[in-house]
Amino acid sequence: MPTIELRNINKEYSSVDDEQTLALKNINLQVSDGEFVCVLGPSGCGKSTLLEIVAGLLKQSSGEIILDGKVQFGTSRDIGVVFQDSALFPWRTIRRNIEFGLEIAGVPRPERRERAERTIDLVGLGGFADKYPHQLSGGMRQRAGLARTLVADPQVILMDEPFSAVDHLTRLTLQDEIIRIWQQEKKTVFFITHDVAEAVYLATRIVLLSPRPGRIHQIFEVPFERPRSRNDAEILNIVEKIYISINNPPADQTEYFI
Amino acid sequence: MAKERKGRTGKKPLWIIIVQVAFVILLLGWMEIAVSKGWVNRVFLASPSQIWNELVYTIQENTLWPHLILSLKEVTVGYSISVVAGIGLGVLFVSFPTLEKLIDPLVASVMAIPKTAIMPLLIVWFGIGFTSKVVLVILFCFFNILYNTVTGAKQTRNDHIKLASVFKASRAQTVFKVLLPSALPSIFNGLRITAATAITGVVFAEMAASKGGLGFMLNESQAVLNTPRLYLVIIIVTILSVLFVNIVNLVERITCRRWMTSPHQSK
Repeated sequence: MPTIELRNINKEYSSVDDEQTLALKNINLQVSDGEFVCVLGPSGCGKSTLLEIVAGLLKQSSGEIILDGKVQFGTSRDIGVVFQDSALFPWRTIRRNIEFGLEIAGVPRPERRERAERTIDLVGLGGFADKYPHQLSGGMRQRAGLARTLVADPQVILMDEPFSAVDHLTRLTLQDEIIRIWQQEKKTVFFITHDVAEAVYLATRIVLLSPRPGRIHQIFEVPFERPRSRNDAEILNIVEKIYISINNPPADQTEYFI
Repeated sequence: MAKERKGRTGKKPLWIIIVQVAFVILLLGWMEIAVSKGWVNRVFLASPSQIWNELVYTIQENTLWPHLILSLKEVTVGYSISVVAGIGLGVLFVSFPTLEKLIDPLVASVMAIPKTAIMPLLIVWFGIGFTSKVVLVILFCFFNILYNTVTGAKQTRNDHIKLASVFKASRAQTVFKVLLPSALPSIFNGLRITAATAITGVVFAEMAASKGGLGFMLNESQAVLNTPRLYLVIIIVTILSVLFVNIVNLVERITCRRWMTSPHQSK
């Protein structure tokens, strides 16, 4: 049984002159428990819109999000979100940022402290708990953002290009970290990215979106064992296939450009 | 960071400081000589020694304290009410946007009135005593604090609002844990600006009609052509104004220094 299912999601925006723009068209996807799904696509293909709909931050025009057999309306504590640039509160220490969700949920202070402490160790932020966000590097802040989501223990974690704001080397490290944490915590991950190599390195399955309107172009299984090597022939082969697919958009799209 | 600010002033070359201090000393020296030699009419200018003597005299005669204390009381009461009411109504506006839409035109139109024009009416309503001064200070400060609170909250980062929503924060939790902390730098800006305006307001109100206070002293000194006293009160009012602004800065530094990336703004 899928943990989370997207059923016929459509999203229309009405622009200023009352013209309807289709941002997402017929998105159908089933994600099983413990999967690591990467949603890949060029900018403007509706990746972030899709994530916000799954998160419940944005309402779809039609279709349903089903979590554990129940139709979702609005946000849910079972769905966590990691934002693009960590979105930490500058006025809270790292520890208190991480505790934010628990605080909102009314978890008593001692338990909050203990869970935060454990998560701080899990993401490798030991020793930085009492620092403020501006005192940390971009990579560290992103770890803190991840910890804030993890500590609340959601079933599904949505990540919106979480590593796009950090430098390349930090990015590689964070990719390894995210895999380690995913394996350890056994969460279902829904990861948005525009980086093909990143998607192939991380995912168990890649959903390639094509733009205008955003729809599922092709799905790639990435069944390889971990740890993976970035330069493995099989990995590079899938990367190649994805590039070919990106350059051959669905038939009706050519029409659009004429 | 506060450190950087200190570093910037610290970098000022010594000769610039020497020139600046020398200029002030020269100016004061010229004032002293010009007045004592009768180069300048004593009605226009007071010498530093005259001003100093006037200070000593007003303290000895116990004329300064009652006026100073009265003005301080008026400012403190008026300013405190403005802070509490301004931030309070700001929180209500932020929590209930419909309330803001409903009341805002009214508040904005009262705010649009040049406050000094209301003074005669305030005297009719509240007399020439304590209350009319407090009310004018409130009129001078309240709106600024209110709007800085509301605008600050509106500048909350979109991500932060989404975050509150993802964790299913209640309206009150969102207001107090996300919107208000986001608004803090803007709130402090409002408090800083109004700290100086509060002094201006009280002096103006006292000059318009009163039985005491620093503004009253100014009027009285002018009537009897006591120029040294005029200068003295102007200096005292200036010091008060700077002091007030610095108290706000201090409070801001105590509450926000640790997380602010620069002294007067946050990221």
